Amino acid sequence: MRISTTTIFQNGGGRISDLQVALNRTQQQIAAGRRILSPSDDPIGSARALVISQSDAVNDQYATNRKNAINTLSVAENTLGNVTNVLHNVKTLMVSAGNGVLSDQERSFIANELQGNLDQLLGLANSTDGTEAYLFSGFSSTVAPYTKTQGGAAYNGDQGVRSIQVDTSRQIPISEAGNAIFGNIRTSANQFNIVPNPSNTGTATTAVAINVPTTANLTGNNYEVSFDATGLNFTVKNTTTGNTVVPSTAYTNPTTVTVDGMDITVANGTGPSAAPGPNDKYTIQPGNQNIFETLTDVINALRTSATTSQGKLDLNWRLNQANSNVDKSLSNVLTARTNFGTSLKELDELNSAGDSLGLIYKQELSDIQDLDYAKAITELNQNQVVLQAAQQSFVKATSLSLFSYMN
Amino acid sequence: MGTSILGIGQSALAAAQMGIATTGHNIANANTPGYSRQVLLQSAAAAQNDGGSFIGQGTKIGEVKRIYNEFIGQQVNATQSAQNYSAAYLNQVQRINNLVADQTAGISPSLQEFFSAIQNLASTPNGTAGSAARQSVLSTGAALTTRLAGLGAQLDQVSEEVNSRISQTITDINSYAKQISQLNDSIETAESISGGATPNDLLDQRDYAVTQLSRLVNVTVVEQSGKFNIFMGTGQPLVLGAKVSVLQPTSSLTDPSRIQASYESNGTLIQLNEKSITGGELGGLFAFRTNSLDTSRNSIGRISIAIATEFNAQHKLGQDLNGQVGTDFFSVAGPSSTPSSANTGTANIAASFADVGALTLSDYRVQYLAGTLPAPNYFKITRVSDGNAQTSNTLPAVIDGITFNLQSSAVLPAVNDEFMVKPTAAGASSLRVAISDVAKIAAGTPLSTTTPTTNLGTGKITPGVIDSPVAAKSNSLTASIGSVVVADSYQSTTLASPLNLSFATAPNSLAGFPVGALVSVTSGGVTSNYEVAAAAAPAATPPKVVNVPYTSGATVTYAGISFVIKDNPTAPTAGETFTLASSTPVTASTLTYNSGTNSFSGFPATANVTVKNGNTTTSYVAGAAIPYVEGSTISYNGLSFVVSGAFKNGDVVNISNNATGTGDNRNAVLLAGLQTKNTMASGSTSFQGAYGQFVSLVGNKAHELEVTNSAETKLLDQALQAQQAESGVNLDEEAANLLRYQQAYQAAGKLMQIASQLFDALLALGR
Repeated sequence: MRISTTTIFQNGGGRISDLQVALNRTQQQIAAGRRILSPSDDPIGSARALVISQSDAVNDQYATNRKNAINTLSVAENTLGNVTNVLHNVKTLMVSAGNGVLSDQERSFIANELQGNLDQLLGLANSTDGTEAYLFSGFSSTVAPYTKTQGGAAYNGDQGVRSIQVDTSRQIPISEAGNAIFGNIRTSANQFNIVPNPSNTGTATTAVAINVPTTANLTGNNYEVSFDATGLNFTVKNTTTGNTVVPSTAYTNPTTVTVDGMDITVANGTGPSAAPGPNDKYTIQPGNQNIFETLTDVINALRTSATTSQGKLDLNWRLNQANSNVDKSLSNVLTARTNFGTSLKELDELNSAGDSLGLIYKQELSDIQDLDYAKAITELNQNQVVLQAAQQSFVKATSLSLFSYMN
Repeated sequence: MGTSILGIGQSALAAAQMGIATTGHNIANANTPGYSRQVLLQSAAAAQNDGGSFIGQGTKIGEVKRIYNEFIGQQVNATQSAQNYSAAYLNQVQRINNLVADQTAGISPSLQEFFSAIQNLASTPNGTAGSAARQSVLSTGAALTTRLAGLGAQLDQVSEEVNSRISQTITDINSYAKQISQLNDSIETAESISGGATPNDLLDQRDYAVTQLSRLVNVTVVEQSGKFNIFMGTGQPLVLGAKVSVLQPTSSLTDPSRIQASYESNGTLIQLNEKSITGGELGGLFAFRTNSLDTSRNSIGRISIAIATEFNAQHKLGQDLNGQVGTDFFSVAGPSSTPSSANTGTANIAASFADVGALTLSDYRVQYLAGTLPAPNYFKITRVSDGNAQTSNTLPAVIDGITFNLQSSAVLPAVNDEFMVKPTAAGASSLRVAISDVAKIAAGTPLSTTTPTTNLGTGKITPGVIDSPVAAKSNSLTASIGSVVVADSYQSTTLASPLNLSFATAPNSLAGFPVGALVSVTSGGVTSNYEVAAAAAPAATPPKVVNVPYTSGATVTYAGISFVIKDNPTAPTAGETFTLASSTPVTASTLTYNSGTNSFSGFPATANVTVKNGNTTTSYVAGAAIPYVEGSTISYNGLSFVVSGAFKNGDVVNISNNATGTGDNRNAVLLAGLQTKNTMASGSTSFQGAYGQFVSLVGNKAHELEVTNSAETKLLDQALQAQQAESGVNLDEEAANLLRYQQAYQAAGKLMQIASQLFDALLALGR
């Protein structure tokens, strides 16, 4: 075996260069704290790290979303808590208003206090989430949900429910449309609630149906069908606005008048006084009203003089109805609060699940790309020793030459 | 006797002198690359018969021979080619590898930040927090496009460098080829002058030049009467004796930005087939460009195009803060087509995206070829990456999510014209955010559903979604239109005014397409293209028709919209119309529930309603009452919603537009969902997944080449060592030779001295 002088130098130099590359790599790994310096070090690992880091980041984002959801839900829940208090107060007031010994004036004081409660409720319904967006107007978050009207308040929002993604496969609703909370008080199983005046003498009935072609004309106001002293003619009055919408009309059994999108049919009842009696009245209310309409009705009733027995009877059934309506409203508010509460609880659970998932992702990422320092430092020392030895032996080997001995 | 001794001494002296000269030459060239050590060959001179015994006549100098093993030389050349191939490839791919090395600097952080901004927008679409969230969507979107465009620009830069290295390599190849041909000449002259003695150093130089050439490109050497003929790659002659065929760097015919190698043959430039160059630096550069650079650029481009297109498609189904339907959020370049500069026709291909989810990483070659009569001429579309080819007599043709069409249907290409279609190459560098007004981010959905308070039942309706930008309607009582699919290249301006098609009979056909329109009808897997014209011309390619033929259930594609009209249950009546219109704004309608028939009525007069219940989808003709199935999805005119709960007779649900829905986040949630949705590579991966695949592709290639290169380097080292072991100069050995020849010289001198003394002794006898 021959070896050329060039080979001796090249081999020695090449080996030292290889060792330096290895030493430098270990040093870089230690400086960066990462095992994978470029994708070629571990192509599968780097691709996996990319996917896991996205999952981790998305998981973090869901945590942010949950935080936002909890904020919004807490504000809404808190507001509804206040609404509950006000409604309880309203109930107490109405019970005390039912006391028969109260004078008209005393009742008007209660009416004033109820008016205050109504205004307070309206304020709560129009609360914002702190960023100038209304809580209870559905998707129309720049529109105040309720505006005051003669008959109470009208809902201007929509039925949109905002949901946000709080986990990979879970969207949670973070709002509730105002009309589901403050409206949705069903006064009748039908579309209209028709109440014959308790002091009516006849047993005639009034029925109301939606006049489909003119559905758009529906007002949601209260109406009253009242017969004159002869019991032969009747008028229909919009009691919310005080306008008479159907002038005095002769009654034949049965008679139907169409007004404001309603077909109002009056017909004889049964028994000895089947025909309407003189001054008989029928109140027509929408089958579904909101708490503001209920409160306005009761305030109006309390402000109406009830000194006669007829008046007392009238007031009584109005108070009873209002009481039952407030109960229904309370139940709506509580349903919404329960939904919010359930969501909050679920978010809490999702939070802890998300946290542990985040830990798993971070652990996985660390397993893939982080450096084992003990191993790396050992390797660094080892490389150093080998490099030193290679350098020393190179100098020794190349210093040998026959020419040194020739003279 | 004395003369003979002097003669012997003199021959020995001369031999020793030459020995020292040869050793000196070796020592002098110990570090000369390509040098083979030389040795002096000497033999005993013929002896003289001196009556009974042969007496030696001294030494004879044979020749100075170089120690060179041709077999090992060939091995060195072959390993040089292989090693330099992998080194050149590795060198380039390392640059891309380093570009994507840091996962905090790649596109993934900007992608994440963008989608996080969308998520935050979904949490607070409006109000003071909303405007901050909106601004953040715009700025993170811009950051994402900058990142992708930056990556694209860096890849373009790598491409530029590859071009200049290819040019440099070609220049070097030419220079070595010229050197070898000159050495062929010099060696022949030297041999003829010296009368057959080998010009060792010239041979070394020529062998070394071949080795150097092997580093650039793999060559085979055929020796013919002392001359080297060099062939490149798979047999392209580079040097034939003294003749050199010069290579030239030229631009690719179908891509001016791509430098290729061409050689001149009979006065014309012929492009060298890149695939025939399998070794050396040139081979490595070609392979890198085709296998890694193009793929990388297309990967990044495809991700950009997918992000832009998927996001835009969803964004355009949304509603912005001004109550307007969303517009494009991103802008991105479509496929590019370059006609070959050798084309004789003036036609060009117009390609567009039919479905970005189906895009591959390949480029496409479109050729217009002559059919064997009577078959007509045809288009051949070849996927460059794997050579898969499809043919079509007419365009448009849809392949891998791309619609290939002629730029002008009136201008056909000349036979043998060629076009290079690059669907994704410009994607990354052209990606931009197209809107600048935060109010134009479409976070809401232009659809509102309500159940009025007058309803008696507990029936509910979901908020609903807009599924498609196109609404297909019909007033037919016996047939329905549906299955509307909108190509990713669809522009809302296409249906700025609705397209009304009316049914004609004898034969059954659809009238109303604008003159000049290209309409494709796919039935049973066979696609027929038609051009709508004022007068029919069945012989034209594609056939010109006034009305497009009707087949029940066939998919009709026009201007990026495809739809299916089918008999339901019988063919339409003449004059019945089918209309394609924009699905927004939504037509307000009130659906009324009838408990007697358990169905809904009140849909718009021309709505073709489909009801999906579980996996069963049922289509209904216009005006039909739609049976109510709890939890079923009702779709018509491009929108859909789910109804559930107990409806009572006369209950209604209202469908309307969403004029005041500034707090609506439905579309933002859907947009955010795109991040993890598998929208790419035929629904197999997400944006980030596709980026991961790209990183893994580059990493794997770099890793593979690192391994190959280190193996090739070892092999090369071994071959070089073997060569050095044989031909290299060992200085210790030369020192020994020096001593040897010195002593031989001294001994010969002594011999001549003795011969002289012997002669003197003879002369002294006479005194």
